[in-house]
Amino acid sequence: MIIQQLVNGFSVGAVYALIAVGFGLVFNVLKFSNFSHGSTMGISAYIAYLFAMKFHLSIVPTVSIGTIAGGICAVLVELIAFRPLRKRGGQIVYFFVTSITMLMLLENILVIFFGDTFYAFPKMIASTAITVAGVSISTLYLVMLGCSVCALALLSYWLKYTKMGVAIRAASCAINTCNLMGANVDAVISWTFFVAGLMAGLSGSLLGISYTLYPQIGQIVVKGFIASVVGGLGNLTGAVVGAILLGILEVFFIATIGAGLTPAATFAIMVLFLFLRPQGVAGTIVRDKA
Amino acid sequence: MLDIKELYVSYGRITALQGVSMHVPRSSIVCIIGNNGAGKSTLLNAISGMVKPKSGEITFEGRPLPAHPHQIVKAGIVQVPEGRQVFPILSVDENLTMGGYVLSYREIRERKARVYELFPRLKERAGQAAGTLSGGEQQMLAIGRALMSSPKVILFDEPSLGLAPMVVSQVFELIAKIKESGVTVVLVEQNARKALSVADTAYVLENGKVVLEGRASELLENPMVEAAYLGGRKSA
Repeated sequence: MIIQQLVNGFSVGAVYALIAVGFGLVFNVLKFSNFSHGSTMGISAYIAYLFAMKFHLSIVPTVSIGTIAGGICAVLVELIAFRPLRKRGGQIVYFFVTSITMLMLLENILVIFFGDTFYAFPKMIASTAITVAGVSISTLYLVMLGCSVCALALLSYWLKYTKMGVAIRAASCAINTCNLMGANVDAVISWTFFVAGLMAGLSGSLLGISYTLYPQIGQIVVKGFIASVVGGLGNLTGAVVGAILLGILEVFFIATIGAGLTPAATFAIMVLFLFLRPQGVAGTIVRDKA
Repeated sequence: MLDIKELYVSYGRITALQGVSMHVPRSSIVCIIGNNGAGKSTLLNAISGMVKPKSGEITFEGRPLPAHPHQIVKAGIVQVPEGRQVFPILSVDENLTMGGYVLSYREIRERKARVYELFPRLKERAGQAAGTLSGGEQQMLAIGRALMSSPKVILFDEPSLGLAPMVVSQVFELIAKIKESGVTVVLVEQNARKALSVADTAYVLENGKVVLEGRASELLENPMVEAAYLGGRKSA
């Protein structure tokens, strides 16, 4: 039973990792907590839903459409909301406030179009389970885990081996120096948002398919934020570790103290981390690596 | 090769450059000396496109410079910024990749081989995070990174800052070598004696204005320069 919970927690954590990494990418480059990441999740999940309903799509095209929609949505949000601020040299706090504004604005636009009701994706994954060594894992969790792991692996390859990937990591050290090396800062930032948006789109559609779709689905971005803090803000490996940890803890909290108190408990953990270990888990893990 | 005419730059109400004109001939070393706040770094950043001049003109090979820093790198002018500014969390190899950002992947590979030939030390540490290198090694990396894009002009901002004397000598030897390979160098330096001894021509900046210009060897003998920038007396 405990192992089963662990596996479930790991799968949920893997989806949180997608959110946290997308969140962390933007944080690294522009140094602000981008809560509009949540609205990107929401919008792309709705777009995936519309396509799935209209064309009776199976899971792969649905999730792909959601992922790409997320990338496009994030680029547009940057273009409309953040770029004008950046060109005027706005302070970090303006970016932060803008991101929350965008989250609320886009969430309410979803309410206008879809109403404040719940939607369910057509059934895409059979509710079966696979039993491995006495532990039965639901297909749904396996799909979530598989998609997330693949996406994270691709992302980490891209960040390490392509010029733009290296440029994004360079920009997280010093964006001006990155510019001096011949990288177009506007392009680097657009790409950062695009890739973060892909992660948001993927996580949004996976969450929508697994649970239900509602306009406030984007608020799950808070999980990504908590995971980032626990893992060490600004550190992608840490964010993944933090997210998996959060997923597992959540599953255990739900089993022990119930779903009602679980959000309070996860927030308490984040606050605890901020007090005791503001550098996060990664404070040690990653330094060891370097 | 690089011509600056009547350049004015201001940050808000503070004027950093007040009508600076300068001529940088091909394959030479031009050094700019002056005290803190004289406008030396501002001048380099204006050439790199990082600060926008209020008025004035910079032409490169007879044409006006492009507006954006990345276009200026592509045109062939690259800066080795003050304090080296290597990307600490990236490996040495990835730092070089960034230096060759404007090139194709194939060109990056070829240039890297050249840079590693020039700095075998960097090759030994290719996979190491740049932040773990010593100051001297970081300066080599910063210079290697600038060489990646096969620039026509390299702008050095205080390359000797914070380095041990022996390393400083190595850096200046390297700058001389870079010039011999046909690259034009603009050198901003606090260490005026070293800079003047390696440069062909020199400019003295004070409060955003050129107060003196001439052959570097002549400036080295100039009593005013000696009093203000060379510590008052010749070293033995």
